[in-house]
Formats: sequence, C-alpha cells, structure tokens
Amino acid sequence: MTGNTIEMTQLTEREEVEMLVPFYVTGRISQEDAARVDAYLRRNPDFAEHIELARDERMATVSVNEALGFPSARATDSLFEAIDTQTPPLGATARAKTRGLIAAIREFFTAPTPQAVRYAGIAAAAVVMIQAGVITSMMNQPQSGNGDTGYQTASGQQPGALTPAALILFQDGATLSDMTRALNRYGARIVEGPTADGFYRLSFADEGLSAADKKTKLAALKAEKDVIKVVLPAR
Amino acid sequence: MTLDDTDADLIARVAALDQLALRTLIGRHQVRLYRFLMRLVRDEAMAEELTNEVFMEVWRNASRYEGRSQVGTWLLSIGRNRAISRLRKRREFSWDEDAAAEIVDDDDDPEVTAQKRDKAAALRRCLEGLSNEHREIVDLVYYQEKSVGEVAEIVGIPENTVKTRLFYARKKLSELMQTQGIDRGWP
Repeated sequence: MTGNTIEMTQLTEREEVEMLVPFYVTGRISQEDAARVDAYLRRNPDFAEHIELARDERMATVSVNEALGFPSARATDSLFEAIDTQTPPLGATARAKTRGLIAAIREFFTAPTPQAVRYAGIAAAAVVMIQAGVITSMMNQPQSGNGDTGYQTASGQQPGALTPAALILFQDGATLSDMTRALNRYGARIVEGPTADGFYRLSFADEGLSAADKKTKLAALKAEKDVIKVVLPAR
Repeated sequence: MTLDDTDADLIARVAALDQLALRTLIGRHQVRLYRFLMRLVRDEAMAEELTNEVFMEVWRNASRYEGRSQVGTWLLSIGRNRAISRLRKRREFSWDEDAAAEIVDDDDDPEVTAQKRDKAAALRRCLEGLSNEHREIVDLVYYQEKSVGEVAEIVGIPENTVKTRLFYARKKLSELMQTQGIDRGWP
C-alpha cells in the first residue's frame, strides 16, 4: 500500500463494503453493490453504525457546500450579458442549416426515381445559393436582440461599421477575461466569428490608424502568446 | 421547452444556438458548479469567473458534447480543468497540501469549546482540514452525488482509485476528529 493506492486484494470483506458505503448513502451505486452492502448489513447488524457515520459525513459535506452561497447577481448578469453579446458561432449556424438541406438531398438519392434525381440536382444548387444567402444575411442583419439566429457584433454595432484588420485564433486555455484584456490593451475588438476553424475577425476601434500603426499593434497582439495562438492579416 | 427536457435535450438546443436552453441549463447547474469551483480555488471572484467561462465554453462548443457522460459531469470536468490550469498559472496549485494543521485550536474561547462538543460542527471543521485531493473526492461523492464512474471521469483516475482515495479521506477525517477530542469509533 502506498499513498492513496491500495491493493484491492489485500482488503478484508468489511473494508471492501466500507468503500461502497458513501455511494450507498447517496444512492449513486449499482444494484449489485447496493445488494452487497445490504447482505453484509444483514449478517453484521453493527455495521449500521458505519452507515450512520457516512450519513453524518454527507450531511456535514452538504452543509459546508451550502454555506458557500451563490454566485453574485453581478456575475450572473455578466454571464447573461456575455451570452447576449457573444457572436453566435457562425460556422455552427451555417452547419446546422446545411445539415438539414443535405439530409433532404440524401432522401432524394435514397429514393432514386428519375424525377427525384433531377430535383436533387436542383436542390444541390440551391444549397450553395442558400448557404451563401445565410452567411450574407448574417453578415448584414441588424442586431435582433434575441440572439437566436442573427449575427451580432460584440460591441452591438452594425456589422460593417469596422473594417476587419486581422484574423485571430485564441489559445485553447485562454479565458474570456484574458481575451478581453489583450484586445482592450491594443484597442481591438471582435467583429465576427468564430469561423468553423475557430478564427475571429478583429478590428481596431480607431479606424484612422495608419498601416504602420496597425502592423505594430498586430505584432504586439501576436506577442500575447498566452492568449493568442495565431494572428493573420485580414483579406 | 418544458421542465421535462433532459440536460442532453438542452445541450442539443444550445448547439442550435437556443439561448433559452442555455439559460435553463445555467439555472440547473450554476450553483453546484460554482460551489465545486469555490472549494477548489477558494476565491469567490475566481470561482464566479470560472463558472461563467464554463457556460461560455458550452455556448461555443455544445456541438462537441457526445453524450457519453451526464451533462453535470461534463460541466464539472470542464470547470475542474480550467480551475487547475488557472491555479497552476498562479503557481498556487498543490494537491499534496495538507491543511490539517490549519484547524484552529481555540480552547480558550468558551464559544469554540462549546462548539467542539457539537459533533456536527466538528465534522464540518474537519472537512475543511482535509487536503485538496481528499476534499475534492468527498465533495464529488457526498455533495455533487456522483457515482464511482462519474468521479473517475471528472478527476481522471481509475474507479478503484476513487474508492481507495475516498476511503483514506474518510480515515483522515476520523484522525482529524480525534485531534478535536472526538472518537468516531472508526476505523
């Protein structure tokens, strides 16, 4: 036996059952293991005391956790605000809409009548047109406020008000506050994204920045390696 | 949307960018997640921030949920990883920390002396004295009500280790109770 590991074969029957007791008192135990505890208890009525110990531990643990209170209203408001203003995943929306259309096409092909095959060709063309329409409308749609499907900028401004200056990819472990701090430091903001690849387009609040200034700021953003993985110039 | 919607139903709706589904999910899981994170990081502001980050991650990546575990387990797992990553950045992370010595022994204080006679209060105090590793497993089983398999998934350890770690945590609790003058009669 070392540290917190123990050879299960070294355990007495009582110890093995003791290990099941915490799960027994919460009810998060398999029927087989619960039956094992019950059977042991029938043979050893004094074991009821151990089950009581575990119940006391559970009550104390619940009490300690409940004393921690709740997230503040401010934190919850900030979460809902972030959800409201967070740009919906563009790729996900387009993918979801495309999935439905592709399923429709698949149905045509699984019932291959000549008429269905002809319609399938038409539908395939329609997918391309509709997908382009979906993305375009997302790019140009005024902020709806309900956030269900419409594209929204993080700043609440109409898309197009700022010219994208770069594409950036955040580090996987980057937090929202890390991202916000890094962007704010250089007067940058997200105007679109993420794409299916996880990239965001960003702009600088100061539209009058010279090309040299933009280049300097992008280089500085690129140096924020804890937060930003990739910076690419926008096309 | 109805009260009968399962968490998995809600995640599917979140993947389709349904804000109401996300808000419902937050309503169901926010407090437990926050408390779990509070116990890990012991900092209200950081726990709140991490809680929000978990839900924002769900908002962005709900489509990645594969349904192999319960949504609550998935959320705790994301939160735990983020909390450990944050603590490591601050170099404050140590599972080996044994806080037993931090249990305050205020024998001179009549109020505390009276409290010590209260077994439940002593138990609560001793729970706070467990190491991070032991406290986490106790919380996951007794408060978060997770099964052996779910704890194993959240913590990233084998199921047998879950059982033995909890076993030792409970033994340690008995030792701490002894230091408070209370014999639990076990082990």
